Amino acid sequence: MRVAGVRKAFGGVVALDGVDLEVKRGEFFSLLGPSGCGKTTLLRILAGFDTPDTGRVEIAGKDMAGVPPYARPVNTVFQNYALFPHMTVEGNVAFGLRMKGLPQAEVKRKVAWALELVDLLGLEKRYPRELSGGQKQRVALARALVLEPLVLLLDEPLSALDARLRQELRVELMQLQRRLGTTFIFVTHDQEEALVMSDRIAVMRAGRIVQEGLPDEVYERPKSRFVAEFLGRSNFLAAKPHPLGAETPLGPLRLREPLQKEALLAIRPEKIRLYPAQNGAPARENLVRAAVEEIVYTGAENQYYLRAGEVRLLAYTLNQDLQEPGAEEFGYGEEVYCYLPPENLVVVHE
Amino acid sequence: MNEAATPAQRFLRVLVTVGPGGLWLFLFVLLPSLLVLLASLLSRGPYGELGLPLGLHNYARALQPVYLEAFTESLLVGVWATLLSALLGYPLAFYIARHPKRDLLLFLLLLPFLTNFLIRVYAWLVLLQREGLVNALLGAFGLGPFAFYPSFGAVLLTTVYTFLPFFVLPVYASVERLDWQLLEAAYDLGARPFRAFLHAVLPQTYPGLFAGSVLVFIPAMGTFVVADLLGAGRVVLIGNLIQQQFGVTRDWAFGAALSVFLMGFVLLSLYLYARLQGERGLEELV
Repeated sequence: MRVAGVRKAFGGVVALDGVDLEVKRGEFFSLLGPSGCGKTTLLRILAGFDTPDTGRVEIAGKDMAGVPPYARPVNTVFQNYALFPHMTVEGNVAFGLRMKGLPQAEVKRKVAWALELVDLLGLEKRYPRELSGGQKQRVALARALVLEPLVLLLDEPLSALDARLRQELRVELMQLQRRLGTTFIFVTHDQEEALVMSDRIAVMRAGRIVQEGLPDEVYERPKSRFVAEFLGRSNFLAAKPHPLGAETPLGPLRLREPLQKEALLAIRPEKIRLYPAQNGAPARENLVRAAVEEIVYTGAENQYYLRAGEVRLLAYTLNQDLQEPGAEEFGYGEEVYCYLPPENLVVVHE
Repeated sequence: MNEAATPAQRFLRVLVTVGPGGLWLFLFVLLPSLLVLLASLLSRGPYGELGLPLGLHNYARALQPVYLEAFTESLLVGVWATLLSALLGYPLAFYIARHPKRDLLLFLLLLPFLTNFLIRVYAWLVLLQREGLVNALLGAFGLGPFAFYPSFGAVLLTTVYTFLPFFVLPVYASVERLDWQLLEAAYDLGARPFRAFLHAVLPQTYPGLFAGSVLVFIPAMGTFVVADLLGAGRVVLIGNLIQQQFGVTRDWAFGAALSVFLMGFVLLSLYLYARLQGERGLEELV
């Protein structure tokens, strides 16, 4: 599936500002971005509900210009499911097959297949109003997948569900996608969801794709401050060129490659290693002395809000057994050494 | 709610909550209906008063061909008026609901109600008569003049004109609540526009269609003023007959029997209509 130079404006408001995208067959591809970034508009253009002002959409090598939604080899799972309230589960799932004019026996067989796929056998005669949120979600999935689309478009399908169910369905969706080999294009504003589920992610902002890549690439090597902040959290340091690597408010730091000009550095909180200051400075470079200002206990990890001179740093440590070597816990006001690994100091632009 | 309520307390609760509505229904619906039912079983006295003997003779008389004919004619007006209202009103409701100035359009739709009903019916009489505006207009093209009035068509036209807003309003309410995403879902699943409308939009407006049909059918069947004026004696509906019994003829007992007959028929047809719509139709009705 290819998208080239797609623009779309609604009454002067630009929703998509030149989007290029290529999704491979069988890929689980996520469009990630804050609300209003144009990700849903892009999905609607792929589905055929909206037409781009300029640009081209190709699915399986065919230009989709002028092809109405009902003739496209894609199906959509809507955010609010959009199940037909006057039809049973069976009726909803069979709808697309009936529109295709398949014989009754085949419709029956395929509906059973799809309902088994999403683990809903036995609920055929229920109406949507008699289903839970998670069950509705599964019906919406079955209704789309039963048509065996080349591409399945999912518009924030998990956002209406509670946290626990969301986690379960994430795993189920991934397994389903792998089993069927269908291309999934998944729209979400939840960075964790995108990181967990996708083969590849495109991060969108203000109608453009600002970064595209594998989940770990996008997370570990954000290209911009926006991406670094939208996916997880980051510490930012203004930096100037220095023989060692970079001159920062924390002093000179070694980088993978020395800076050529002024830049912004980002480092993830979990990459910062903490040592108790009372044991003396460990023999490493890129060490910064700081004091613990605030501690946030989240269960699995401790989040330390640190101050080193004028600079505030955020560092996470895993909540490991304190008997294990290297496991440390720090108290309020305690002095620590922070180690900033050169390979995790990433140059980003504003 | 307190679980340990004594029967007296529970009775009091029911009385306070259901009481006022129940009293209203009893005084203004049940009691008058019973009175009509009772009157229909009595006979006309020598001076037009209600009197004995008691019996079913009024109903037997109502089944005579003359009266059945008026009844069929009423049914025809009711059914045609409902169908035409649906044909005109359904698209109109969509047009209004989707129009940016729908408040203004709704106001315009209801504007005629600010004028007295009788005056509006007379207005049609003036418009449709031999020297009326319609014939004058057609005359300018060398057509006519036609005798539009008095006729069944003129009665029907005026009836539809009168009751059309009662059809549009409930459908409008349905359209306003319509989930348009279902239409997109239907497209997405391979339905072409007409079938998408049929499966995704039409069912969502059933409650409005149902309410609209009832609100047009019932008054259209019972009205007598329109038939009186635009039918000018040629179109006699059951409403006209009933009015005659209570007015000119002063046979209240027979008039009451015709009324009961009409009420029974309307209730029965509503019930059948609702049954046709399945259980949900029955819920709407009740």
